[in-house]
Amino acid sequence: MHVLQALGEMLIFPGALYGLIISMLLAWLDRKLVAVMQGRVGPPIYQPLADTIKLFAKEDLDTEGVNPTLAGLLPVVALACTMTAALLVPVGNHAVISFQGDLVIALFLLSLPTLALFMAGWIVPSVYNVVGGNRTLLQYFAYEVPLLLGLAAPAAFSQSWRITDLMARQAGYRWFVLGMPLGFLVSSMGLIGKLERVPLDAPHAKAEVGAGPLTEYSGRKLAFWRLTSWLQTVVGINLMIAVYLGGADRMWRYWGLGTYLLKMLAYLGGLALVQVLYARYRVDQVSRISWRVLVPLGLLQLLVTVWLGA
Amino acid sequence: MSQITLPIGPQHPLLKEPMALRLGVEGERVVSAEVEIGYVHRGIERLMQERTYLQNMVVVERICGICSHAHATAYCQAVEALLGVAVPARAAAIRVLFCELERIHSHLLWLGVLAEAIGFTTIFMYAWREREHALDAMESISGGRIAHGANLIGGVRADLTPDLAIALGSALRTIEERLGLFDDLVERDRSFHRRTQGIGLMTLDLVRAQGVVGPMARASGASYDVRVDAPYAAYSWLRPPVPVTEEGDVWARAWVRVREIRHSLAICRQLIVSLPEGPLAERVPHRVPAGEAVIRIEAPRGELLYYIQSDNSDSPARVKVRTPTLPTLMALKQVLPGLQTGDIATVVAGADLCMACADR
Amino acid sequence: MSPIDQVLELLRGQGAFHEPFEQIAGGDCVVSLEPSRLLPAIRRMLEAYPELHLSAMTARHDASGLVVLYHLWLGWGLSLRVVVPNETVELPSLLDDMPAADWYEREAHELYGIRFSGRQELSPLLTSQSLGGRPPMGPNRGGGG
Repeated sequence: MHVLQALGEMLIFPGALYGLIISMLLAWLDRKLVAVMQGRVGPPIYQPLADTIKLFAKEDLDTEGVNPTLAGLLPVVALACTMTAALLVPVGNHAVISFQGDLVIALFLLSLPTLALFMAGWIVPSVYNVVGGNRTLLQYFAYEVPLLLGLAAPAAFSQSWRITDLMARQAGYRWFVLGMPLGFLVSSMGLIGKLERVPLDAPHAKAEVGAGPLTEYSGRKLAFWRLTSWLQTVVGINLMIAVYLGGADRMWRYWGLGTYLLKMLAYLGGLALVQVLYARYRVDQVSRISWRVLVPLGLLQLLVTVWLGA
Repeated sequence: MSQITLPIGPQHPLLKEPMALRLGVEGERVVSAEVEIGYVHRGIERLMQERTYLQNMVVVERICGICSHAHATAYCQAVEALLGVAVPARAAAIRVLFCELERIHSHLLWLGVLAEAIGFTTIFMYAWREREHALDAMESISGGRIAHGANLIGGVRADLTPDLAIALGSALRTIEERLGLFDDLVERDRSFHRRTQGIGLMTLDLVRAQGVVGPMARASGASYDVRVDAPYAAYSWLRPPVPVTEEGDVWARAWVRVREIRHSLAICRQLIVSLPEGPLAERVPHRVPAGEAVIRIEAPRGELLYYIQSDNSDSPARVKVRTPTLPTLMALKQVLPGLQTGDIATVVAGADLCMACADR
Repeated sequence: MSPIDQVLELLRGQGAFHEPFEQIAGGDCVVSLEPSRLLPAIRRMLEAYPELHLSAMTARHDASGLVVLYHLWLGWGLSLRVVVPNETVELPSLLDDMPAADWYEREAHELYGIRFSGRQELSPLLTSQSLGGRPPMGPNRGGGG
């Protein structure tokens, strides 16, 4: 029974199947919110699913000069890492796997797809891919640090690196975002950079580098990359909710999951709002903002937290 | 650091029309630039020698989709000058109405294209939404959003009836209300400033040397505007203010164009109120006498020059079209080196290039 | 002296033209020059009017041969007309003094076969390199029609 239950959680809920479904739903909601804010109508709800099906049906080109095994392996590895990270991050109140240090492991697993993306660009002998891949790597260095720093403050406060512990500490609406707002902002910006969303989407700025590291990809490989990106968004949001927004509070009995969904929608709304309000940062401005603003603020938050907690 | 060649074009998501930029890039800096055009060269000038003056009205409007009325107006004025015919006052005013509506739609188009290039998709959507009002207005008067066919040799074909004037007035009011958003963008939006200020500097010397015209030149301190310096059509009694500034960067070009939209709206309103009475067109002789004519007008992108030589036959012996994008392209070759690669899109999109005009 | 007269004096001082100027439709003045006097005239005008603006260059052909018109703007329109009797005669390139002439000269060469001396390459501007053959416009034009 134990094994069946574990398999069910890993493959169905809140694992792979649920992950894929919810990532497509959130991808749609993201596009819909942005569209409405821009005065447009936006896509129908089945659009991400339709896009994925279409991509699977398209010809998967073997670009000349590219190692086909590597090109095929990288998106699979990226998706697998993200799905594994999804198992560590709580959905609602419950994480499939939870252990001391799982916050660090989750972040590590989430950083591998970004490196894979860089490599995917690097192995293609096309200017747009290489330049896009380089930018991804640059942004990777610039934004993993604020993300980790921002998440370190609650961990220091709770004296634990276990995500479910962090959630438990926030019981009773003592959400960490209220006490450590700076850390929340810093890690949110880190997340935006990691997800390569506007204003930090320089690596795939259409006007400059085409589709960035994924320019020459099509078909099944591109579908996997898209799914990875959508799933990363979901996992990132879940992580932020668990660490900063209190996870699934028991507002009323049995309504924990309800508030959790509300928080997910609210955070996604915030991401969409930021996307709509700003122009893209140029790639050197991206680095500057990160190292000169976000990292110092993150350190400040960490120091303040440690000092106040001591 | 080794140099790579970054090819932009002839087909690239940044470009709305095909052209080829071959940029030598070291790291994140452009060190050399080659500009190649001709991808939409259709031999218009040669074609016009094989068509009658009347048939050329259709050809001329299709040189460019954005400034089609400017081409039509310049062509008609050149032929009318050869014929020695003066268009009636009402026709001249309606021509200017279309010219200014076209300026509004062209500048809003440009603003959207620039916003998209710097990743500010929201402004792209908003600008093109307002542009629809101008296009709808032109369609309701002439039947066409672009390539209006509003002009005749000797006047205009379409009239501004009182009903249309009311609808036009409300369309103008809508655009004007929403224009405040673009004013805010230029004056106050820090993310816009971050991407456009100090970028793509074009000095006044470069403008003079390369003969750059239009809003590009006015953003660098050169105040040449044909509507004011050599008034034509109804501009002899309309006095559009000419916004000029000196920064010479992409931000300045946005500043100039947003101001010009506002001035164009004011001119349109003035025209609605004080549209002269009278016929819409003069009868013109059938044959254009031999001679030469040079006409300059202010298209949305700048000085547009038409030269026509007639040999007393059905077709012009020579039509020369010099479009304002050409000197901008020549200057672009000097502006691109030294840029960061992240600014290439901003500068190219901010240069308001119309390759269909440049290539003919 | 009106601005027009001043300029004409200037050009006359260059021994420039051999006809009185004419005013053509649209209001531009046209002055004819010998090819050899073109460059000195332009230089002299640039000294007197640093803001001299080259609007366009028109190449065409008629009974007298190939004709090139330089459409200038100095607050009013002035066109300098230069006749190139046959394809062996070269016009001086204005590239050093008025860089704006660059692409106009390339286009005149490409479409009419007019040659400009004193500049390196006259690569085609508008047509493909594979077009080859005779210039598409001009008296002995290639292509159909």
